[in-house]
Amino acid sequence: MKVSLASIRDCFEGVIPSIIATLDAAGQPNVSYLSQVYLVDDEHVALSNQFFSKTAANVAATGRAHVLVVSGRTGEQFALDVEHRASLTEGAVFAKMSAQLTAISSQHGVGEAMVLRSAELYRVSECQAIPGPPMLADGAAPPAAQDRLALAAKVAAAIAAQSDAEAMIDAAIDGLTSAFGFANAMLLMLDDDGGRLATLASRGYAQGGAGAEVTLGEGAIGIAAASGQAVRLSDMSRGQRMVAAVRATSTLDAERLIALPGLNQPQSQLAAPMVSRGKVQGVLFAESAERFWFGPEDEEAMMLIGGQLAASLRLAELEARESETAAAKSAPAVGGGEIRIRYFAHDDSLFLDDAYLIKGVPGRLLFHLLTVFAQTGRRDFTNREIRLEASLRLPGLKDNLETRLILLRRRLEEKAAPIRLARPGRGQIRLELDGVPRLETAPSA
Amino acid sequence: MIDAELTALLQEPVMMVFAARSAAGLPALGRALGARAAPDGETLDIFTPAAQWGEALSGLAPGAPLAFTFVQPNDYRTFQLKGELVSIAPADARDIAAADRYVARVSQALTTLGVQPQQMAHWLGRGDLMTLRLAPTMAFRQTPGPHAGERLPDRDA
Repeated sequence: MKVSLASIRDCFEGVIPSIIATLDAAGQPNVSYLSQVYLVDDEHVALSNQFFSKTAANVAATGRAHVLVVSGRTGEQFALDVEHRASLTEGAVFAKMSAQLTAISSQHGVGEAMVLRSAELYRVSECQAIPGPPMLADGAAPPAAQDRLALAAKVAAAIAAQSDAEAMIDAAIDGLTSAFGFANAMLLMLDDDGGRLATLASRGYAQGGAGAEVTLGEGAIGIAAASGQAVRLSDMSRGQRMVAAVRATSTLDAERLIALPGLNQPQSQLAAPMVSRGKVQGVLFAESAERFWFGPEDEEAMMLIGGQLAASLRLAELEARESETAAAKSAPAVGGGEIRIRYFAHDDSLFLDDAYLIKGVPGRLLFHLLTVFAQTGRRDFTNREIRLEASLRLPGLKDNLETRLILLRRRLEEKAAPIRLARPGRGQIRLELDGVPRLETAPSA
Repeated sequence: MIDAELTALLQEPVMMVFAARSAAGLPALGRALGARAAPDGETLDIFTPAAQWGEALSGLAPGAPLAFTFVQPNDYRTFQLKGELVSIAPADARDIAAADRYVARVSQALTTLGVQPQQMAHWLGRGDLMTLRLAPTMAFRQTPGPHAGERLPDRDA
């Protein structure tokens, strides 16, 4: 009986190696393991071409192959008779497959050997189930793949209903946890130089992790951001844990790290890029201790939500830029002890009473506000004046001031710092201080 | 042909697959449940359940070309032997015992790697066990990496 490819999607997750048999022109068989078979549509699959040159030569000679794929969830096996159609080195199928292969191989610690040379497109002429033992009932079945589109639309509408960037962010991450039931989720934004992502919000972890960074290209999150493709891992039991945390390159860097929230032993991960105007703005991420928790429908839904969020956040930035809000009058600062603030200009890192707070644009921002306060006693600022402040070197049109301020405010809250950022009104910021700041600029290294 | 290194590796919990030309003239494959090299190293007996891999066995007769690949799942060491089928026959008691030992060994190794029993039950089914005797004439190293596909020197060459 012919089996439909859509009904055996679990076989195309790269969990259990596939096997490929070919014949040469004289009929001599060859058999190889294959790291990934990618489902293109109900009639086509794409195979990764990495280093099995005999297989490639045989396919060139005969146009045919026989592939055994295995469900990573149940172990069921299916035999496909396939006919070669094309060799793809670019385009959607190639990009998607390349990102997934990078994610899987970095998880297994194989790294560099697994570069995708081409995606070989095949038409499937036959798909047969290999007889096996009777199926057992599934223990922890993932949530039913019910109407993901409806759920995504609901969350997207909740985001679109907000005019404030912070409310949009909360609508997105709360939507993932409540509507989709993703208990562990994070939202990260790309920083302005594009080399790193910083955590803006999380749910389901002991630590909030605001400001925790992920290097571009590292782990599911970093690969999703670097490639612009969603990355879905369905069984991480045999691979090394994908280390999504920033790798400290020196002791100087090590003390400037905020721990990235994460499950100790995730089995499933899903990272979807937030794309707006063709550019990745950030990443939505969810993980689970259960295998095969996220399906292809979840991936598509998360891409939709990410796209809506990215577009809405950009609009919020533009609107905030237009608003001409006058700064409220500053009330006198509250007294208290001394708050020692050290600023390192080389990476804009800021330390409060010797504890690391933040670096990059948010660090520069806070140091600027504190400097103005020290010089003039002013505690109220408008987003607009900050944007126009040349000394802050904000990256012009690209700037994401709103999300930087949210990140900074959340980091200060999580640290229970003696400095807080309040928002007395739209487009306004007020410094709240439990002491008198004493500013030091550290000598550059 | 089957040297000491290969013989030793065949005793480890390696995953085994074979490929042949089906009766329809198409490539086909099956899993093997253990293999035993002859003392002289000239032939290899491969055990496979016909209940699952009938298509791959459908075109096999003495003299047919056969490929056999085995991989150590811990370190990805992989070899492929190619040659001619000498004989195909139902497994005898000694072969069945060897396949049972193989299944026990591999089950243990896969369990250590995190594979669930209900998954491996699909790959280690033993219905209608057949013994394929292969006379390999070529051996290849297929461990992923720069030496993948390299032919090993013939022992007799």
